[in-house]
Amino acid sequence: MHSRDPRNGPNPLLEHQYRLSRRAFLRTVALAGSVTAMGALLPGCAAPAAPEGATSSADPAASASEPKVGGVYRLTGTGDIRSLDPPAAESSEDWWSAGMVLYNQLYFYDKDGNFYADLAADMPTISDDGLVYTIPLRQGVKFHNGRDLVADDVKFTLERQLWPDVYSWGKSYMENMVGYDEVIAGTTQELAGTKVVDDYTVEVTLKQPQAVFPALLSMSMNAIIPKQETLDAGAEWGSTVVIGTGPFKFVEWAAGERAVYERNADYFKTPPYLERIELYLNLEPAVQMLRWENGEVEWLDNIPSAELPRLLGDDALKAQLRMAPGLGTNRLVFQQDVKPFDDVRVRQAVAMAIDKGAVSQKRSGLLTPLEGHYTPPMLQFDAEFKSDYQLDIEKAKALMAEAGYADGVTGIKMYIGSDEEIGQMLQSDLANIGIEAELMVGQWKDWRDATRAGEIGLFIYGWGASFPDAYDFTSAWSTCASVETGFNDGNYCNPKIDEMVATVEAMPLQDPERIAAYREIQDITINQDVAWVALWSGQNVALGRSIVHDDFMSSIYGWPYLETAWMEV
Amino acid sequence: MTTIRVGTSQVATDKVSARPAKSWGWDVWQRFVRQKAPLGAGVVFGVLLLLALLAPVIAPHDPVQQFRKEGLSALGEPLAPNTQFWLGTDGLGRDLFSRLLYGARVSLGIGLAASAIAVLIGLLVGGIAGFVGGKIDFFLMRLVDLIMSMPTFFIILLLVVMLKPGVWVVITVISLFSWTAPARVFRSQILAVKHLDFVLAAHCLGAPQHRIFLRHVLPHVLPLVIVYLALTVPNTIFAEASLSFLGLGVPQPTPSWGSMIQDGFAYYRAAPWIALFPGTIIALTVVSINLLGTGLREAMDPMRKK
Repeated sequence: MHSRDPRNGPNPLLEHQYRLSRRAFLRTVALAGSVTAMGALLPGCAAPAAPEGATSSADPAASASEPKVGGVYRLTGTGDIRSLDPPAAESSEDWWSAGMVLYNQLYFYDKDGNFYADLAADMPTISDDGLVYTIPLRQGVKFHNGRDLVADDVKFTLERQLWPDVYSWGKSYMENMVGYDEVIAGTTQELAGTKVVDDYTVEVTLKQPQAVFPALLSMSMNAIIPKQETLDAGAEWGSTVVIGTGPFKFVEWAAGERAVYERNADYFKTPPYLERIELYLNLEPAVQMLRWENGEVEWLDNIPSAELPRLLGDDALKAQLRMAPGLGTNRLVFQQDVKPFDDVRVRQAVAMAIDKGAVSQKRSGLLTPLEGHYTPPMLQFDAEFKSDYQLDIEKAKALMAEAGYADGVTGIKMYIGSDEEIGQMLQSDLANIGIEAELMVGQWKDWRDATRAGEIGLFIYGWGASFPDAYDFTSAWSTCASVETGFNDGNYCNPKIDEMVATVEAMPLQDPERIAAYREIQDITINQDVAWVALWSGQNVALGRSIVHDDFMSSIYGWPYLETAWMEV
Repeated sequence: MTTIRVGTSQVATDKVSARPAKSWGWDVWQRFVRQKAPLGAGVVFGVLLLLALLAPVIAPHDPVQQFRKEGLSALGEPLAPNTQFWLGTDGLGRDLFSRLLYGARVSLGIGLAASAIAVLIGLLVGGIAGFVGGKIDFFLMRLVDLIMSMPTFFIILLLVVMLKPGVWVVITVISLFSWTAPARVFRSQILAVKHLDFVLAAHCLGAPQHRIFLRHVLPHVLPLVIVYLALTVPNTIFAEASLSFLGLGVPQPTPSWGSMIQDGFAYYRAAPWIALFPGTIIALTVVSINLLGTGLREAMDPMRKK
């Protein structure tokens, strides 16, 4: 079924794999401070409302055992909705609405990170040369208007988001599909590489073997939309006309205020239990907290970070937190071309000076210190992996001296994102080995030019993957190609990595050899070249309610799975 | 030298000249110590200055050292006041008491320096405008009007951002926008003095202009200078605190009272003392300097006495 085509030579795919996509851009900015970037304002208000769980039942096991239909599930978000058209939904709230609530993708990841066929009936069949993916579709899936989903809708979905007049943050992710360039250029609306074999079979042809291709199909911009209905709706599509196959149906969206969805009783899987979802928009974290404490919210998206110790320190409150390891990683990246970080000994010294444990403690353990830059939900994550450069100030100082910097280094600029508290901790760590760093605080977009120009010697970059595979990290900022086209702003280049990626992307996603290769790439960047220091990954944290069950936190979206969630009503 | 006037040309020397001859300084001192509130304020301000000067001796800890183990709870929370950290710790486990002491050096230092420069500029501009008069006076006063009509704090913000925050940038920018009120007052005092008989007399005796200005006019403005110095300091301290609060003051990790309030902002419910202590100290400083300034004005101006 699967084939291997260990091609040699560079993979043209990598040369412009990661243009600055909107989504990636937003993720980078948002993750710069990870979990800790949450709002700094807190409400000065009374003690939290008594947890409902305590009052509704003395024996939680009895009431918690039987899912029931009903209940209004209210969420509060800090951001706004831009559009409910999947490729245009790019902020946090609409991204989740499109990716997890109103629509379905062909494939998806469950809460444990397992990849499964959702609208597809099964995993794709891959041709021997690794280029043709045949995807069987599930039968009997109905759109919210009652019409059956057919292969034509899938083909339409894949090609429409590439049309020049359709806004999508994720177009470039799909550039390995045959026919991509023509559709992007606007010479045709049809994607030559996508064929409808019959009503329930779609065939996609790729330019190069690409193991992660099915994972790309799980991204929210590839959520399946109905062809004729979308075309008929015209400009109304995604704002007043929203038709998907998802567990919840669109009811209304009051711009800047709220969006309301209701239960889809005809859902192709077990219909959801929640009767109604109300998503409130544009709310300050302080206001969200007030509403939660008044019992008006079932899911609070932004917990002020100074509130976390209180929530974690109280068992009743802690039980209401919804957490999942995030896909985001934070690194301290070196500008390789600039003194003193052109010297690997200085980079090693910095790696030995950073006290990740202290930062993790400061953030109440919600930041997990990382040895390498892969994060736990990823296929290639290796819990056994260790950095060669553990905390050791004396050794680090010796290395600095060896590199000729015994008297210290001044005038280093360090971009730290928006979390000044953590920035100051790193500043103090660096001062321990004689590096005097000036903190550059703020949004990534304001500092990127200076970073790329080499003015910033050290910078913290956060990155959230769209799917739990190391390909996303590697092609975005570990290859030589990504210096030009991606987010490799420290100008790190080891041609061996580019070669390895080209080779293993011809293998199936889960191939042990592919996984081993990505692990080796991590070892090269962290231990041999010390291109950056892997810092920590954040937890996705939200505040839920004890009366709600199975509203699991998603590692990818940072929002809940509601397909099987239910409330005690 | 017994005639002190503020913006008036009245001559009122009978009462004063009737008293036994004592130095002017002694006079002022006598009048000052009779006022209870300003005297108390002076003592408080003196203590604050002393604490700032002696910070390296008094401070129990290094103000930038992060006590990550002893200074934070297991969940990373700041500690409340205790025996090791008298005023507790901030979000990074730094000793608040030590930071307050060192912060005083920055906040008071910048406040005093900026006021001194502002009053000096005010004296120069007001002096030239008042003494020379004519077109120069007109131009200088329109300049004062112009600056006074501007939303100064926003311009200060803009300038600091453009020039990159730092001690001297903050001092310069603040003082550049704080000299206008003193300049106006100094000008009117000089206008009042320069038409008095003794100035006329000096003229008639053929004294050169600079001598008249320095020997006969300026001494009448000096008490005002001291008063305005005291009255400008609270504003400059506020300006520094506001800039630091907005992250545009002295760069971290150097403590200043304003940046300490900022540090405590996120914790205002979890650890309210972090912002409370520097806030209280700023309030105390400003109130004491204001009272001190008012007291000095009263003491130096016999006309104001009831």
